[in-house]
Amino acid sequence: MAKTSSKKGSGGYVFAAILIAIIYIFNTLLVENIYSSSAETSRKTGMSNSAINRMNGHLSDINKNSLSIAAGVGEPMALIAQTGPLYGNIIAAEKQFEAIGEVSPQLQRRFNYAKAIVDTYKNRLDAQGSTTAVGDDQQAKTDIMKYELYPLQVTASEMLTSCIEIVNIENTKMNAQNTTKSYILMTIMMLIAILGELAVWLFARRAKKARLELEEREMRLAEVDAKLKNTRQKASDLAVMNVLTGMKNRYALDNDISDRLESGRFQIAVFDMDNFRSINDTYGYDFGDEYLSAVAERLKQEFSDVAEIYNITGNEFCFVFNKNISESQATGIAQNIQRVMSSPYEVLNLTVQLPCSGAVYHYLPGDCLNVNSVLVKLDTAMRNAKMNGGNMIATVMNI
Amino acid sequence: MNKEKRKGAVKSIAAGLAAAAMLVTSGCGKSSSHGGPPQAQTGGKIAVITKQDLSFWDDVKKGAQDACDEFGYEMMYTVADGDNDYVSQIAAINEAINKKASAIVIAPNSETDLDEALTKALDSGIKVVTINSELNSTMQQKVSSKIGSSESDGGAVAAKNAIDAFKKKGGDLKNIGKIGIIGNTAATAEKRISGFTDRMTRGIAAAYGIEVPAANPFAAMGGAQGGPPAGAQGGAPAGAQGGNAEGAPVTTAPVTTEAVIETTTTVPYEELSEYEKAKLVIAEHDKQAKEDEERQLAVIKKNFVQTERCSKIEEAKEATKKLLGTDGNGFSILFATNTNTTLGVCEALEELNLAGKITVIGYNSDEEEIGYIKRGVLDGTILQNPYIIGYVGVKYAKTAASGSGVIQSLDTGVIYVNASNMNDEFIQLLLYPDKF
Repeated sequence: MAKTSSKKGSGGYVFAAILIAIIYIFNTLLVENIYSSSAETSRKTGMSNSAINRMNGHLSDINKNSLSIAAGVGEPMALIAQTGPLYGNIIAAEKQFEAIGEVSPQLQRRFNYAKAIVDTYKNRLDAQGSTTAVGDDQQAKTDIMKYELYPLQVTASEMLTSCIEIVNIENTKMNAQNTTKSYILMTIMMLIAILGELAVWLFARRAKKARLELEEREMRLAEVDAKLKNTRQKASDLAVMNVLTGMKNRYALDNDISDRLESGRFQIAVFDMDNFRSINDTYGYDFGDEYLSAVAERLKQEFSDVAEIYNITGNEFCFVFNKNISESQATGIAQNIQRVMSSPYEVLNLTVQLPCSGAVYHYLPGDCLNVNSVLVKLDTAMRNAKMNGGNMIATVMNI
Repeated sequence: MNKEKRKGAVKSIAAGLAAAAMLVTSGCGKSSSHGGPPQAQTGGKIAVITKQDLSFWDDVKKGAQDACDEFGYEMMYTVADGDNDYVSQIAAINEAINKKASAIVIAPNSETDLDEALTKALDSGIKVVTINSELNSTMQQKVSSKIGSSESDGGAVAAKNAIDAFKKKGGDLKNIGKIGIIGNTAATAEKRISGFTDRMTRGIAAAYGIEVPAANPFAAMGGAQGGPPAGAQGGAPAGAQGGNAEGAPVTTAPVTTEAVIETTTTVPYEELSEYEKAKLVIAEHDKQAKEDEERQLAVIKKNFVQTERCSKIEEAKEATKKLLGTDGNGFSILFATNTNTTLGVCEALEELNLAGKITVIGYNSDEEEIGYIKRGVLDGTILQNPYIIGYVGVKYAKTAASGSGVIQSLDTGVIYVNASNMNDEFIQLLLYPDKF
């Protein structure tokens, strides 16, 4: 669950990264498109304007020569001889224009008009031959210049300069379009970026929410787990504990000292009330239980410092003395135990007192094979004491 | 949303904006670094006001419309009801002022009646270009430019080609008959007629060996400056000044010679040297000859007969019939000064069955006129290139409106069209501007 959620969170960042990459590529492509269209326009503008200017310039040169002839200035034949190369330059410029490729229909139309007039100019010039040019008929020269060539030159020149203006206007329009495109692109990029970031933010928010939910769930789970552990502990405690007195039971004793039987040396004693059954019979089991728990409470208070106390059966208590307790001390403490147990107790507003018997065993390593044997020895000694009148402490004899 | 979360949100949005800005600026840097040519000013309205509903003005409109389309302007077109209808033109000028036109291109129907309206337009910052006709000189100086062909040149070209056509038909200038001129009512007709008569007189005089000094503007300038006229160099706009010799190129005035000056000397005849005496004798002889030539010229001029000015085809037809009688009445050449008079003359000739017998030169390029040329009734016609007049009119108007300077006057020239050249590419362009 935790893994899935963290995956969800990182998914948001991966998405953001991909989005930014896409935006960047998209942006680059569009910018490239705008740039190349600008470059293309610029190239076409440069080429067409240069071609048209060349045409206009060379036509002007031809016309200047014609004017010179009409005015009687210069050598007519030399001037006529220049016409061919000049017209060749015009043709080259026309080809330069045509090589540009696709131009707007308006520009093409205006160019065609100009070209037709330039060609007519050349044709008319050619048709005149050189006779008039070298002759003396000034009127004829003037007529040719004024009525044949001049209108053509004026018109051609106007058409050519118009071509340049059309190119410039189209270029301006194209630039304006590109500027608009750039602004639209910028706006789109900005919007995409904002939306992308918004999406990333939403993803991050969702991931955070999921993480918080998870943490809460884990906390709850830990609580349940703790409860479970507690219950289990309780159950296990019950197995080794006497419910009534809260003391460890015989199983616990078994667990605790089994390992020590082989090599351990310790003092162990058992005690129980003499004729406890009479209490149960007289006052009932509940009363008996209360009595026992009161005794057990006193024993815990008095002797838990010196011994581990077990409530091994009904009213029988077993004392495993601490390691530092010697044989003589154990005997002394046993007597104290007997005194405490047989002292009067206030139980449910009644004072009860019962004598008690016990047995003390100074256990030596390897005395018994199991705990049961130890208890049998102690119980036997204690039963003997009881059979001899009770209210006494027997000692298990090492054989 | 708690404070921390809000902080996070603000942070991520800020980061997003920064990233976007980065992307955007990285993109636009490239395109903005590319500089284009200077911005050409476009947009706005240009009012085009023409004279009357004739094919000539239709072609002017076509040229104007093309220019408006190409230069990005909206055309407000008005055509007056006739070549004297200045009232419609005043209304059109006022409309242009109201609609805040950038410029007005006008073929004025009156030299003076438009003064007030045009002054108002000029005061509103509207640039004015006249086409085809002119205003009075005071007003003309205030407008940006005038575009059109020289009327007297038109007349001269008509005369030159009339002579050529007459000769081609086997005519002899020394025995040339009467020359009829059927003029229209517009002011332009007078300039055309004057150009025609001057040139025709010179042509016939030349046949008699009388030398009428030629007013060759190119020769004059060439001699004075050692080169072609400065104005004609470097293209059309300036060329107009060199070529436009309106009213001036032809003169029949007697020329003062050196000899005449010398006779004014106070030295007595007896004291002169033999050489000087001889010069004086020659001068006297020249003077006599000149006087003879002038007498001859006066005779030639008597050959010119002008009808009443006509505005309608029917009027021109009647006038022509009156002129020619039934057998041509000794007329060798007829010159009509506009479309209607040309059509009237041709109709009369066809009716009188004189088609082809008399040389006829007309004006403009109406489809019917082209038909008469094809049928041999009309020898040729003078074309003014109305398409170019309209186109260049708008071009100059928009240039002036954008604050640039334009030349004061552009002569678009005249072209003679006859059966032999009417299929030339250029002539076809003039006749049918839509065709290319």
